[in-house]
Amino acid sequence: MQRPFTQQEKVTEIPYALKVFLLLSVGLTALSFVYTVICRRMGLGLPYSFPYYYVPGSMFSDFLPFLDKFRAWGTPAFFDNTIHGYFMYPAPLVHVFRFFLGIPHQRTYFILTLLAVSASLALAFMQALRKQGLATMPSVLFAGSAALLSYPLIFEVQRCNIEFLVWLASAIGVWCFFTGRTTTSAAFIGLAASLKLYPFIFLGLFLPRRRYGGFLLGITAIVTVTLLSLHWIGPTTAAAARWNGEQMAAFSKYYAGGVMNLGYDHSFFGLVKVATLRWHPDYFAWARPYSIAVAILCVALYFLRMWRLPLPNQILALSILSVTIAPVSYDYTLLNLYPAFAMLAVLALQAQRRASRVTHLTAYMVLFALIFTPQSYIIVHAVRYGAQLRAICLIVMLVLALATPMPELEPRDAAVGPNP
Amino acid sequence: MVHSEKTFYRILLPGLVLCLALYAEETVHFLHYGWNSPDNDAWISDLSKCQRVPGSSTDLECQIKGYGLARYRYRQDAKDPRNNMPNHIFFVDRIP
Repeated sequence: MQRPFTQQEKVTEIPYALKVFLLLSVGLTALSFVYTVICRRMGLGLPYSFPYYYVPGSMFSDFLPFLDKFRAWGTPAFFDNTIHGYFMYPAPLVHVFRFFLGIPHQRTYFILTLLAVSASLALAFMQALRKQGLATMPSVLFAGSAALLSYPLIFEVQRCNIEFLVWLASAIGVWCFFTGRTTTSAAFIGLAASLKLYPFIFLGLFLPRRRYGGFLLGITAIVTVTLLSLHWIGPTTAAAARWNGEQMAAFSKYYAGGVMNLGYDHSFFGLVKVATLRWHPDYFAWARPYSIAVAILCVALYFLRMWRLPLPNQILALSILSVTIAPVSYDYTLLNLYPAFAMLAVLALQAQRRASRVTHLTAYMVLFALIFTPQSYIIVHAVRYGAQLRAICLIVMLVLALATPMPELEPRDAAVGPNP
Repeated sequence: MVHSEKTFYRILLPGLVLCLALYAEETVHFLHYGWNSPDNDAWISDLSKCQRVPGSSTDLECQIKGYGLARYRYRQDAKDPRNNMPNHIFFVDRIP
């Protein structure tokens, strides 16, 4: 049973670093909007690879194109790529899309669900701040502003990408681990990783604390959800697995080496592409060696450095890697950084109560403000580089997280405890 | 300004209102023009709606739904980063 905060322990002021985040977010967002509006008034064209905000063909473009494919559900045409194109997602998402595309007013319900999920996570964040002793009004202001000024969220709404469900599952998983509920955490991280592969990386939280049962539960959740989904796709599990394998392979074939969307692709590979674009290499040929090299590097980082770090450092580092190491990672995946951001806000409040400090906290908040705002004005010769600025910020943040240990959570919150 | 609580809120709250107002403006603009916004001229992918202006090798006139006739000009120096070749479809400037 938790002891309530005494009057002396209550935090009435938002900590300095969080104030810096809010002011910078407001300033950078306003600047991005004003830039866009001025460009429009002057009749200037949008730069290449510009996602912000409304571009023909981009609106709801990760949802509506599947409408015809899922109308063919239950017929051989559904499996034919030549008629309705590929469905380049893991098998469980077939059933999610089938649900949303099968109901009337599908676009409206999809957006309403997305907004409900976002509002619920913002409320949970606000509640976490209040639980740390921050008064209600500052809690509402901080969580509400962070949500309203969120560029990844605006981009997610614009695209209607299914990412919000991955965000929901992985946020619950990461937060449950952070607060000591490791079994629930494993189940949700497993669920998230079955929807899109990269949340798998969060299972790396379990091993340093010898939570082998949780790790195995996560793997079991991924396998079970995937097998059940394949079975329901049919006609047989094996046939569905072959079809889904083809769809996933199409992603590597058509997207991994692409450069069309670099304006909103903050992956490390995107940074490599931008740096080498002038020599016109075949990035599709590079994608596999790149993925293998990054996987080896990440495993080395994990065992040689991350393993011994405190939990907040591990959560932050794994969150950053989860949204950057894929060959392609569009800006809506940045939603998956919010659990780490919320964790830092909680640490800031705890540090303020104890009159101590979290090293580099203000630097983290400045970097988060740069990452979570549109950056629509980072344009050189009609090409947009906002995503590459984000990638650089993420590298800096990763280096800080790996270099400087942060304090562990206070005993009242830290049920998982430090590394043995 | 961050250390003073009063100054912090004096900056933050109007800033938030400004951001929301600008976002609303963008949304209203989209709702008015939809996918055919004349500002999205750099991304006109359907040039079948356009006709070359007689006597010009670079100018086009395009019928934009909900907007009317708009004139565009190929951006001569633009290169498609995929292959460094001129790509007229992605780079078209609207002539104000």
